[in-house]
Amino acid sequence: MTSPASSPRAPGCVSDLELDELLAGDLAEQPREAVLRAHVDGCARCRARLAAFSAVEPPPAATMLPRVVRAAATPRRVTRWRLAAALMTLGAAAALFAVRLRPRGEPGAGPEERTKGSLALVVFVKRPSGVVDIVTGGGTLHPGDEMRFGLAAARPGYAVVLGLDAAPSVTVYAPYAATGAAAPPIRLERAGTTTLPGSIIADATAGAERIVAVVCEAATAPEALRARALAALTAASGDPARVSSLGTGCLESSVLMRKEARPR
Amino acid sequence: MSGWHGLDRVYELHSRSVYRRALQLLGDAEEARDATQEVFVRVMRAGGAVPADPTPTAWLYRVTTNLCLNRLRDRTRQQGLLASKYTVDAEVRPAGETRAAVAQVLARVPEDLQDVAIYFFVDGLTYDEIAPLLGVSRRTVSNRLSAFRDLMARLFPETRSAS
Repeated sequence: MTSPASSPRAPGCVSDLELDELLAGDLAEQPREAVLRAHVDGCARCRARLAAFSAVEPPPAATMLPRVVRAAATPRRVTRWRLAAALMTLGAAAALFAVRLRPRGEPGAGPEERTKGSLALVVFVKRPSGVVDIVTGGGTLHPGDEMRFGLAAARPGYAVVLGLDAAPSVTVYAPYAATGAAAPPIRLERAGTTTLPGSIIADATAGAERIVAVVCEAATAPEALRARALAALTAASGDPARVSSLGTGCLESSVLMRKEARPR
Repeated sequence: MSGWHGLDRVYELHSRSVYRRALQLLGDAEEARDATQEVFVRVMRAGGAVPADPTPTAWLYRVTTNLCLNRLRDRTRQQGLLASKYTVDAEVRPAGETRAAVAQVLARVPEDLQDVAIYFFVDGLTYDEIAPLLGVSRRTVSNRLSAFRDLMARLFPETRSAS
């Protein structure tokens, strides 16, 4: 099964792993890099192997990363993240918190999460205790919890995050406009992962709330998307859990949060 | 590296080697894509941190190899893989007609012997290269390969001794 993906190693030649390390830059400025480079430069076979390796095209990040984020939320296990670095995305300065990946529901198909196209919404929920839950399928929200939003998008565009509750009402969560003035959608310069600026503090209103991220190719006014969301919510009899799509024609991904009183 | 922002960077640097490794072992582009996704899901669940010891690529290589071996539990496919991969080596030179038998053996051996055998026979790595990759001593690598060879010799006495 020899192919560009594999290459029998001749005696004295560098291994596949070493070729991969060279290409990934793992050995930068290490003495071993110079040794391996010298061998490759003088070995036609290894040069050909290196060229074949570098020609391998992995799945594009733009399509893979949203899949990874959604798959990471499968309910197989709960992982406790101990890295403060992960919290830098939450603007948590140098504080050390435990971060929990809180899986709820099957990715992309369950009743709680609804995704159209290659977009994944992640909700970072910071509890008063300092623990941060990373929610991608659905989760629970208590009064005083602080939410921030992350997106893994397959393409650049303009992002808006909306909150649909059972009032029924729709609130623009991002972009955040402190003065109530109309704010433009948030520009995503490139495909990949982004943490949106600003945070939302949960109020004491109980019930379901669907948080929907929309990424459009063209800059679409948040107010226009809010109107679409309100129409969709009305069509669902005011039940956020029953809203499957806003019908925007853009990338959409949502998380269903259940707001309830904090356990005593 | 953060679990969220860092994922982009980790993917950019290492997705090619992960996918290549998966394609090498699985021989199927669609399965290799799935395996690649699975590897990066593990990275994200681990907080986006890829251990740098011995190198990030080596750590991902090991994770990818283990995941692919899990996918290759199907005995028929395992046999096919090893039958085609059990190449002539300076230390082990099984006759061509015994390769299928070797593949059958590998399908029966414990997991901790399987990955050593893959690294040694398929990848052509040396004991010294396998040891840090698996986080074990060189002696452990040697012992596991000896156990593998013993098993092979017991089940297939016609197979030539490995050393």
